[in-house]
Amino acid sequence: MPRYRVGYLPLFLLLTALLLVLSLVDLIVGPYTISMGDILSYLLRGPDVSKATTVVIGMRLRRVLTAIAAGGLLGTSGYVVQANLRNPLASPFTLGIQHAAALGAGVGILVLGGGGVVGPRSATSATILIANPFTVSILAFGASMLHTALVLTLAYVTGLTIYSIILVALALSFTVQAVLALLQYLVFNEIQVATLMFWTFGSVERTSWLEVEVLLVAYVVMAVATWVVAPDLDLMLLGDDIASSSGVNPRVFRAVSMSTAALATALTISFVGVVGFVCLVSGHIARLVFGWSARRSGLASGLVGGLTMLAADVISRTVISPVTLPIGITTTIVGVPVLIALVLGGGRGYTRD
Amino acid sequence: MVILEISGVCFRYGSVEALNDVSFSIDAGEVVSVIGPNGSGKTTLLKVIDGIVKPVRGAVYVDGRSLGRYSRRSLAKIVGYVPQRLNIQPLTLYDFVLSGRRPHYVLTPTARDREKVVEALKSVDLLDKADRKLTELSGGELQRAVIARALASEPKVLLLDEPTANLDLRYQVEVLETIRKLTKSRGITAVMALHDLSQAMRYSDKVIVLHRGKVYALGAPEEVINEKVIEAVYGVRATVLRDLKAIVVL
Repeated sequence: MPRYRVGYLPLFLLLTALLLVLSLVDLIVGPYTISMGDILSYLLRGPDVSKATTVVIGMRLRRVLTAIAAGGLLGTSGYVVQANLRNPLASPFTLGIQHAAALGAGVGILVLGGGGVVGPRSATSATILIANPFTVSILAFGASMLHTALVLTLAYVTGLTIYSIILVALALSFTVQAVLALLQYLVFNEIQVATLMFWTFGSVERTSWLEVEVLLVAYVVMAVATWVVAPDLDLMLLGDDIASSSGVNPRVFRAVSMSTAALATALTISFVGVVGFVCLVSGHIARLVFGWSARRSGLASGLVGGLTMLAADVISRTVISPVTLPIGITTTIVGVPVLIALVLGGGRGYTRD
Repeated sequence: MVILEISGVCFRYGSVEALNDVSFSIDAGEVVSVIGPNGSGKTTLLKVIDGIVKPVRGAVYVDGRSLGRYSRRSLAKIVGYVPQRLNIQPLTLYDFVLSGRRPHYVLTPTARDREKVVEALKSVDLLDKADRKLTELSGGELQRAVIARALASEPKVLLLDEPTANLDLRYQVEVLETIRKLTKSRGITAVMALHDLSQAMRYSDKVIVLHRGKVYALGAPEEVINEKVIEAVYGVRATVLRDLKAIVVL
């Protein structure tokens, strides 16, 4: 059926084109105006340190790439978890990764003296600084991986069914939240509380080039892996018995793919903070536009995630410029209207028959 | 030629015994009905044959090889499974049937895989609905779609768990006729769990009666389905109208 197979390529191209356009917008807008010429010369001739624009473009390019990679990783891993748990409300955050990451970050801020306030303290101009971002990231990552390992081990003992995973995750994340709350109540001072708060809001500007590279490589690996296992994801969606009778061991598949998704999410949120909504919404948008086959919507969910983060970043930096809003907040502003519009129009406009 | 041999199979769900020393063999090309009350072990038996659950004791041989010597994927190529229920998703019918070809390809479906999907859809008369979503199909179409999905992997043995449940009369007949037609035209062996004794009598070459996890009776439908067996297994008095191949509950 040739007619059936064409039709999605243009949509993918459109998505990629949108990603490029938004990247350009994100590079251009801001308090310091950059022209297309500046960007072209930066890209073609390489960074020229004698120009002021070089620094600005470098900084913004880092944000753009962080947004694309982080959004891609979150979108894809959200999609993988939703298929695995057969639950549209699931995401890696269902496992409670974000609470563990916050606890790790909190410990980093507390023990290793991570937090501080720089500049005059007023609502718009104070800059909260994470003094030791690398340590905080590593601790957040370590804590979330430890948490994931605990959840999956406990769930494994109880049969690694959907319910056992969700219940164990729920119990453990409440424990982690309680520990963090206790720390904040007893030990943290107000600056440390504020720093942690600021960390959890999420931001794409705190990544270094090394972290950007790590995120980009991780995204490419995750996208390829998802493409490869897409047919098995379709089987998992239909049920454990179906998967089993079509040659896929549902327990092994669930354990491996859930830990991979958790790893990708932990990596992302330890670098950019808790940007949960992208995880939840990208898969839905991708499925509504590209249909339910995991080959198409799995790949698309990453692109949609990147697009959402980029759009959110543009909004973050322009709405009340020069103040930058946390991206964890603006992703919701971008994602919710798109999702609602698609749900309302979804029955007709986005199916192809 | 024996295609399926079950020998001394036992299975437990926790402390509940689901199958107890079940043994029988099935010849290639036969249509076999497994009947028995709810909880008698019909579904479990099918799952054991498909390797979805492993028996506590005993062995299953498919095409002369013990299940333990098959990888999950190589077994999936030989045995097709039509479950009682599955999680319906808005996948297109085409993609759904294509998922049945999964054991045959590594990365992407080949032209041959797509050919088999079209063939399977044709054999259940659903080719014109290939672009529909599963959620848009009627009950009868959906049941035939699940059968097409199992057929797409070109199995030698087709296991069907209550293929006529939840269908109206017309679709029940339609689905059973499809199964019979396919076994005759492709030499597939079909093992189906059924609730309707008249259907079992009309559409099968062999009937296995399960009762509390054990084989209570086994043989040709006319011999096995009689008043005594029905009363013993179901606790219901019925009369068998042999010329009509129908069972009437008294």
